[in-house]
Amino acid sequence: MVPALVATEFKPWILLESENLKVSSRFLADFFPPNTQPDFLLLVAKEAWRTIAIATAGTFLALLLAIPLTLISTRVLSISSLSGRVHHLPFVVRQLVRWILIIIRSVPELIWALVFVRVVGLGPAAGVLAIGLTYAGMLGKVYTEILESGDHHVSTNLMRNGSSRLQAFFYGVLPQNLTELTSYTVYRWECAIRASAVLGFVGAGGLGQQLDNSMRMFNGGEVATILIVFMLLVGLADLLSAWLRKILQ
Amino acid sequence: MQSQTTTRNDFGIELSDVTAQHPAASVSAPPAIQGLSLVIKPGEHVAIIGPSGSGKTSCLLVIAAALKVQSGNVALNHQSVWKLPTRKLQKLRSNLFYAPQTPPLPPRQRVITALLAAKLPGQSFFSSLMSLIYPRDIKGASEALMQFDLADKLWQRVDRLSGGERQRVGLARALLAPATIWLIDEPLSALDPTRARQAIESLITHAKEHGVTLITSLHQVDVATSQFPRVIGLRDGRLVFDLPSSEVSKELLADLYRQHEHELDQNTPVVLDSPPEPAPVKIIHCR
Repeated sequence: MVPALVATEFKPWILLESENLKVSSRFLADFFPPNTQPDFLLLVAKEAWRTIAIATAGTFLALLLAIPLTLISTRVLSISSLSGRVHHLPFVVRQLVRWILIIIRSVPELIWALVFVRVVGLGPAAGVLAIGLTYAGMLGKVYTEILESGDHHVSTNLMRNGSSRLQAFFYGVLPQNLTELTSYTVYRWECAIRASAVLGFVGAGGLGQQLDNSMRMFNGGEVATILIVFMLLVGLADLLSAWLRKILQ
Repeated sequence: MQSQTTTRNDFGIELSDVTAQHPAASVSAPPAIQGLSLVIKPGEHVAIIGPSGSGKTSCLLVIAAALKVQSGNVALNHQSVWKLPTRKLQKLRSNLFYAPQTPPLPPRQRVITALLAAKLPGQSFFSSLMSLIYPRDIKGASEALMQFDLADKLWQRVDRLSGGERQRVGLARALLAPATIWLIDEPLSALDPTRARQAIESLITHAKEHGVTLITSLHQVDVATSQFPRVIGLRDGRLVFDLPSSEVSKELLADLYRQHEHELDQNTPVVLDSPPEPAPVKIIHCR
């Protein structure tokens, strides 16, 4: 722990030095009051909607990639492992998919966004692609872990009795793990909303870009309004997750 | 329903000198099944008895092509099971219905869906998906449940059922499966004596009507000898006797259950018809 603190130059007491206190209080004072002019609010609402759209489209793209990769990489749905050891070819394929998942999620979405901004130009499309790719890696990994840590009794039995892998997935694996999968997916959607803020700074559109503009103009009131909208969006995601979990229970 | 149209069953079972070890067992542990040879003709009804840990479940798993043998040969319908490629083996498995002791019912699923899951092997992927939205064979499922006195539970959720009800739902699945061999592990463990008799009679009647080969492992020796024409006794993974039930004497049983006498005396099953245990709380980790 101590080496970590040294390496990170973690000295929180410098926050309390009078010079720094003055700077930070001036910065924070700028935030008040939040900007509530109607045309700015309208602009923020429009950008908030775009942020939700980026996050949703990105998460959806991630799902499209992650679901097949999960189905391939999970050992739960392995027919050859029903009778003991997994065969060589499925084993190699599974390892390959795991490495693909590692590679696509080890590159931060910000880097993907920088790449895609060059390819598809400034705007939300780059954000969607960046989120889709990184999150596919994360979703794929965690989905696989959720499935493998769950109870395999039902799916194993279905496959032992001659069902196919996909039938066992829909009749055995999904009903056992649906709530956990859903809540993790909604949590990732929430993360995607936050991530799209960061991506806005590199020109991928949405609230983040607006936040970048306002910060550049030192307009604390606008920054405060945008941050409040972010909080509302995250709260909304939380409500959605709770509601989905309730109806799936 | 496939199982009701195929009355012809030509799936003979032949085990020759089979030794098998459970994959989860430690290497030094003795094999669960040692040098077991058996021939079971199509349509036969056989009960497997023996003290706990005698290899009853492993024996069923070996026949179900679910447990790979270390040595020896398992042949179904004159085909050597472990020489088949995976795809063919999986196709062969749809002729086998293995019902584990803990019924494979997802807690949040409806009874009807869990029942119809037994019919999956004969179904295309598309129609099995559609059946999730609108159950395909409501009539068949409710008739199967009726056999086990559970007709009113068709639309219930599995986690609302008691332990005994779940076990009977698990048995009702056999009636729907497109299989010609039923391998049923301890079908009566959670049932009171009346229900147990009713359940085993339903299984036997249906198996007879459709020419199904019925192999069960049983703890209730009296049920085994009174309801099944052939009884196999296992101990420590080895065959002790394989006799017509009329020839199973008290001495043979006493010998089979030596040092496990309480299992033989205690023929009143443990009644587990208690309210369902609460669903396990899943902890969601922040990832």
